[in-house]
Amino acid sequence: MPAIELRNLTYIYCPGTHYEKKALDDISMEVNVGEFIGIIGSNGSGKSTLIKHLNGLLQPTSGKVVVFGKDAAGQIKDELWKYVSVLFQFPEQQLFEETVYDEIAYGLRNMDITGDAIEVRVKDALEKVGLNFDEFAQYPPLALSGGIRRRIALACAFAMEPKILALDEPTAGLDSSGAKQVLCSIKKIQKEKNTTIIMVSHSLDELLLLADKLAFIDKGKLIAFGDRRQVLKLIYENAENHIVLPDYMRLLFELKKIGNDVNIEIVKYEEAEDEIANLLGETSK
Amino acid sequence: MADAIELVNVQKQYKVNNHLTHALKDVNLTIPKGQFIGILGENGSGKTTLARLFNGLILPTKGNVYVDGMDTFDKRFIKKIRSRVGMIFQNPENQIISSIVEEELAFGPQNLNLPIEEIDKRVDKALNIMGLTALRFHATNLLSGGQKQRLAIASILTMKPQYLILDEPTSMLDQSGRYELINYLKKLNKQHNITIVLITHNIKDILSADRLIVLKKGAVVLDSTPWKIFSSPENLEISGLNPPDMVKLVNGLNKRGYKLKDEILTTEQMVEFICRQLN
Amino acid sequence: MNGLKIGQYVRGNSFLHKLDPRTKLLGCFVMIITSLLKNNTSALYINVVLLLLCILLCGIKFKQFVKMVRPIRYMLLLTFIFQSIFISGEKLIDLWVISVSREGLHIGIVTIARIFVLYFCSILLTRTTTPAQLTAAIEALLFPMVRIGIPINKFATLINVSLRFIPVIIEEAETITCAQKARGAPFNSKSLIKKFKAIFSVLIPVLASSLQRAADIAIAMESRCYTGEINHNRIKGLSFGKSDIIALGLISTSIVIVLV
Repeated sequence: MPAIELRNLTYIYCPGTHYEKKALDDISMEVNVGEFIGIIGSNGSGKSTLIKHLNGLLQPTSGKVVVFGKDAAGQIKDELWKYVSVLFQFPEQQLFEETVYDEIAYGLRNMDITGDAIEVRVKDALEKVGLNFDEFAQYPPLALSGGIRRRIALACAFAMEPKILALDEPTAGLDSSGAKQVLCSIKKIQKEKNTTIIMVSHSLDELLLLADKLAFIDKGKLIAFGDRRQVLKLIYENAENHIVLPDYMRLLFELKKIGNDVNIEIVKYEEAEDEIANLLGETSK
Repeated sequence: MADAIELVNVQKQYKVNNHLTHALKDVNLTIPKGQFIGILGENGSGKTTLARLFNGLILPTKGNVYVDGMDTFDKRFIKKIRSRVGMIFQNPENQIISSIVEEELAFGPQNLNLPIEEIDKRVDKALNIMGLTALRFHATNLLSGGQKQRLAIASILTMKPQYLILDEPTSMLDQSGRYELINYLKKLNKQHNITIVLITHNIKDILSADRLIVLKKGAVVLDSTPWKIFSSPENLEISGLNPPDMVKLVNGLNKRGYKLKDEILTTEQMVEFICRQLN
Repeated sequence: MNGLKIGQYVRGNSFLHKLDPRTKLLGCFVMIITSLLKNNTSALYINVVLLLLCILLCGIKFKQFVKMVRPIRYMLLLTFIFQSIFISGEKLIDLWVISVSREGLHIGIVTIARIFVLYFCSILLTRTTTPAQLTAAIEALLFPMVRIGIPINKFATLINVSLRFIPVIIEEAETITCAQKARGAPFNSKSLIKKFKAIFSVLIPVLASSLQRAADIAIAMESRCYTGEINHNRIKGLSFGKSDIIALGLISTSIVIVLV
C-alpha cells in the first residue's frame, strides 16, 4: 500500500470570484512507504498548496488525497496530523513555548502522550537534529539563533514520529553549514525510522543529493514525476526553468544543444566530469 | 581619502548578557568606487555588523569609517552618508514602508526635502531602471518576493546612491528571483557605475564579482578575486567554502592530465572554452 | 488568497480620487460628527444620501457595494432587530410576545444609518486616498499642534506604516495558525484552557515577529534618511481645486443644517 496517493487533485482558490486561480491542476502521484520525494518548482507553482492538502489543512476542490489507503477527507480527517507532519517555510517563526523542552513536547501533549514517554522522545528528537539535550532542553527557544531555532522546529516534527513528513523549503535562508545539518537530520530520520519524506525545494542541488524520486511542478501542473534522470531532462526542456538546474547539468545540456555528443541522462557531478573528459578526448592535454 | 569607503582599524564589540563579544576585530578595508564586491562568511562571522558600519547605522567601538572622506562619527554628515550609501536587507517584506509602489520610491527623497518635481523625475528613472514602471500604482503587499526586493533597490536609487550595500538580499528568493536580482545588480554596476557590495551565502551570486572578501569570526581572512579564492585548495581550506561546479570541473580535468589555464567560473565561460578547444 | 482587502487603496480617476486629501479627511470628520449628534437626524439622512452619491461617483458597481456591506451585514441586522424589539413605545406590530414599536423602528433605522456612515466614510477614504496623502493631510491639518509640542508628523508616519502592515500581519497569523494546526493545536477544543493555549501559540509568534519587524523597519527607515522631521514639501504638494471648493461648500451646508 502506498503511503500517499493523490488522485486527480485539483484546487481552486477563491472560486467564482475575480481572484479565481487554479493552484493545482489534476495532479496524480503515488508515494511509497519510506521513499524520499523531492518536489521542485518556483514560487507560486503550487508546491505549498500541495503540501497543505497532505495533512488536511486544505480540502481538494476535486479529486482525492489517500493516506495509507484511507481517504484523507473521511474518518481520519481530524487525526491526520498525527500521521502526516508538515513543516512550513521558516518554521522557526512558530516557536512560542518558554523552553525548548516544552516546545518539542507541545505536539506530543496534543497527541495525549504523557509522562516519561515525552522526555524519551524529546531527547531522541534533539539528538536527531544534532543538539545536546542537557545543554538546550531548558533554554528559551526565542533567545536562540536562527539556524538553531530552525533545527528545534525540525525536532518538534521529528518528536511526533510521523509516518509521513512533509517539508516546505527547510533550508531557505540558512548558511551552508546550517543547511547541511538540517539536510543530514532529515536523511537520518528517513533511514532510521523509515519515514516517508516529501520535501519541497527550489534548489535541485540538495534534492539530487537526497531524493529517491523527483516531482516537477509548474503553474499547478505536475510536469514530471519519477526517475531523477527523466525528470531532469524534462525540466530542461521547459526552457525557462533551466536556471534551477545545477551548473554541471546546465553545462551538459548547453553543450548538447549546440550539437555536441554528450550523454545528458546523468545525475551526479562525477558523471558530468566523465562526459566532459570524453568530449575533450586528447585535445588540450 | 575621497571616492571610497574606508575602514581604518575598525573594532566592534557588543555586550550580550554581560558578555563582551567581538563582532569585528581590527578590520582594515577599502571599497573603491566602481567595484562589484562579494562578501562571504558563515552566520556570526560579522557580515551584518560590517554592512551596518558602512552607512553609519552603527558606529565602531574603536577605529573609524570614512565615506568619501566623511567620518561616520560626525553627525553633520549623516544624511549625506546615508543617501550616498544605500542599504538593502534580507527580508524584502520588512523594509518596505508604504502601501503603494510609487510612494515607496518617494520616501527617501522626501526625507531629503527635495522639491516635488525632482522627486517625480527620480521616481520615473528608478522605476525604469529596475523594470517596475508597469507596477507604479500597485499595492506593495501584492508583489512577489523578487519584485519586492527590486522595489527596495529602486527606492534607494531615488536617493542617487554611489554605493549599494546588500545584506543577503537573495536568501529569501527563489532561483529565478535570485537570478533576476543579480542581473539587475550587474546592470547597476556596469551601466550606472554604482559600487555594489553583496553579502551572501550563495556563491552562485558572486561568481562574476570583481573581488571577494571572506570573513571569519570577525576578521577578514581572504580578500582576492573569486578565481584565486576558489581555485586554490589552500584558500578553500581557510575559508571553508565549497568551490563552484565549474572550478571543480577545471581542477578535476587538470587532475586527469588536461592543462586548462583559463579562469573559468560560470557555465557560459566553460561552454565557450570547450567550443574553442574542439574547433 | 491575496484578494483585495477591505480598506485598501484602489487606484482610480474618480471625483473622490481627485479631491484634496485634506478635504476628504475634513469631510469624513464632519460627516461622522454630524451623524452622531443625538437630536438631529436630518443631517444623518443627508449624509447617507451624500455617501450613496459618492459611492456612485466612485464607480462602485452594485455587486461590489453588496460585497462591501457583507462583512457588517449581521451587525446591521442584529442591531436593527434588537433596537426595534426592545425599545418600548407605540406598538406597530404585535406578534405574541414580540412587539415592534414606532420608536424602536425609528431608532433601529437611525442606528443602521449611523453604522453605514461610519463604515463607508472610512472605506471611501482609504479606497481613494493613498497612505502618504493621508499622512500629508493629517500633518497639514494638525500642524498647529506641533507648536504645543505634540509630534504630529511622527504620529502621521505611524498611521502610514500601520496601514501598510495590517495585511502582512493578517497573512502571517494565517500562516502560523496553519503551522500550529499541523502540530495538533486544539483550536476547537471544548476545554477552554486548551483552546486558550492554542490561541496563545499563534499570538506569541505573531507578536515576536511584529517586534522584530518593527526593529527592521526602523533600521530601513533610518538608512533612508528618516529623522522624524516635518516634511514641508509633502504638505506643499497638496493643492485645492474647484471640486474641493464645492465639496467644502457641501460640508459647511451640512454643518449649517445641523445647527439650525
